[in-house]
Amino acid sequence: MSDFNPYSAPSAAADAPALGRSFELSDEVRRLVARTSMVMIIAASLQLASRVIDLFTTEFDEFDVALTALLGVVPVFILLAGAALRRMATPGDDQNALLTGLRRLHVVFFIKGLILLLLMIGSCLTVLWTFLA
Amino acid sequence: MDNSSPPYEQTLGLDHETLGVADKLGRWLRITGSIQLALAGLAILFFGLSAACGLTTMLSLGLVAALLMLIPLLIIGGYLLQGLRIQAAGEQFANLVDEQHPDYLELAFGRLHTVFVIELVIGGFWLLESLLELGGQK
Repeated sequence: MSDFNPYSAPSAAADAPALGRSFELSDEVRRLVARTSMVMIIAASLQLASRVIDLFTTEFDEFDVALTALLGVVPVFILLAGAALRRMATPGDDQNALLTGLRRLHVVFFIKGLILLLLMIGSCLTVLWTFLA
Repeated sequence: MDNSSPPYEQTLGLDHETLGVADKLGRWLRITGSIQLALAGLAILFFGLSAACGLTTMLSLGLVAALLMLIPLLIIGGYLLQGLRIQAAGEQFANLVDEQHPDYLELAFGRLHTVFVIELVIGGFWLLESLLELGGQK
């Protein structure tokens, strides 16, 4: 006779999200992710240090301050993404680590992509204006 | 027998939220990589032609001066390579969303590793420049 009871109360554990799930990844992949996250942290730290020094050495107007603040957001998110992905170096809560890291990387490349897009449109308009003027 | 998808036990089993984020990340990686590639390519063309035209003048200033004047070209070359790798990483994330095979995760992070190594080198260069400027002002 089956042990399954269709009238049993729902279990909270059964409804809980699958937290702390570890992926079946090889040590090589984990080492690669760990190396990449470390490079991300170091690269972001260098960029942030450079921008902080520039704040003291360069005379900024309001537009420059706004642009520096926007560009400063990118290394901050690279740093946070690297910190999140570093957790995948050892088997543990890989699902959440990957989700958090990818979310922060998405912000990084969204801002970078937007800036490059605006730069390209601005350049095209400048060239067009030069020919029309 | 369908051999196009990997066996179930080889998939990562990512949830919908992670797949959604990976899909958006892949899209913006491809957009960013393509634009960076285009802009860096144009810049290399422009600087390359300028460097080729001024080669004699550069060499008359001395070999060290000529090499220093080629540094912007190297930086732009770095951005060009970075654009290629960003684009490639975006394609791997798109493949990861489709098939969830661990190999695509490895390939994506392999490309991202190159992207951020270039970011580290360029970041180090800018930090050096900022420090030299700070030292010069004092």
